[in-house]
Amino acid sequence: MVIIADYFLNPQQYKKLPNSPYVYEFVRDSGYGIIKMPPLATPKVALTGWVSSVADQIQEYGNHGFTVLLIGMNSLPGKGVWVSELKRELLARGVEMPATMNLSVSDVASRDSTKKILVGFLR
Amino acid sequence: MKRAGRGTRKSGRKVAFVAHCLVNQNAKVAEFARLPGIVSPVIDLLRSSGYVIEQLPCPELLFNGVTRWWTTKDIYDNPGYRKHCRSLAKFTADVIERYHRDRYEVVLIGLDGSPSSGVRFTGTSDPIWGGRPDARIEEYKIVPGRGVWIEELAKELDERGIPFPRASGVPMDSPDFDLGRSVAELATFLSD
Repeated sequence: MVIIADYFLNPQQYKKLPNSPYVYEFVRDSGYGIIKMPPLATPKVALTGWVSSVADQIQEYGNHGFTVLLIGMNSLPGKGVWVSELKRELLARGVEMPATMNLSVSDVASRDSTKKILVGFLR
Repeated sequence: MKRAGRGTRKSGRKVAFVAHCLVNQNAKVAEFARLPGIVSPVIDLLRSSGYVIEQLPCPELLFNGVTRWWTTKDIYDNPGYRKHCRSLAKFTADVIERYHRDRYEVVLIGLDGSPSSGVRFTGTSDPIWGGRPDARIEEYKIVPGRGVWIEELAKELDERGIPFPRASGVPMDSPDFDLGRSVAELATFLSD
């Protein structure tokens, strides 16, 4: 499965970024399940619980041989996935960060550009 | 509990809180995944209908892991599991509350038949399951009612004075599940 920034599932919520459906569509068509990170406007009080639950899943799926990947968005704070908080939580558990791909605006501009960047990543 | 909110808000913006496994079938209990990754007819319908998608946590995966075996609401209906669900409900309700405050129409699409995420139907131990683990899927009995996770989320929202969203479920845990029929039913629910 792939952990993704909220932006990739809900691009219409991000007025300064392209309203691009291509990452969602590529992940969907590749047969991956999604663990969506919460939106940037998530109340701080809720964030610890969300990040901890995502770390639980990375650890649990990893322990049982599942492929777990992460896709962030370069132009968003914390890549849209609270990367610092997630790294800190996983480090405390001795668990490695999932293989990560951070995308730029040009990567999500078209179906072809998205496919080009993700085709080798979502194997 | 307060009455379920109709959900239509003035802003015209809409958000659907969906059961975790509708976006990630890897979280399903053994032999209950019906698709490889995303239940795309459901998620695509919601997206094309203008809903922001929010994924609920999967309390069963977070409690019993990926190797868990089948169970029922009767088995999960215990203080420890309810406490676990309530802890998830707290940070989930924080997000629901934010959308509610921002005047979004909020809907919840659960997983009918699930002992945890059922909205209209959940699973019971009567008469086979909950006994020796030799039952067949066809023997899983679905009854009207909510799963434990949805009940605890409703309690958390109620304590905050937030109406429970207008809600339905995709009956993927029902032995006679039909994807096409379920998507048509969801489309009707969304257009009501």
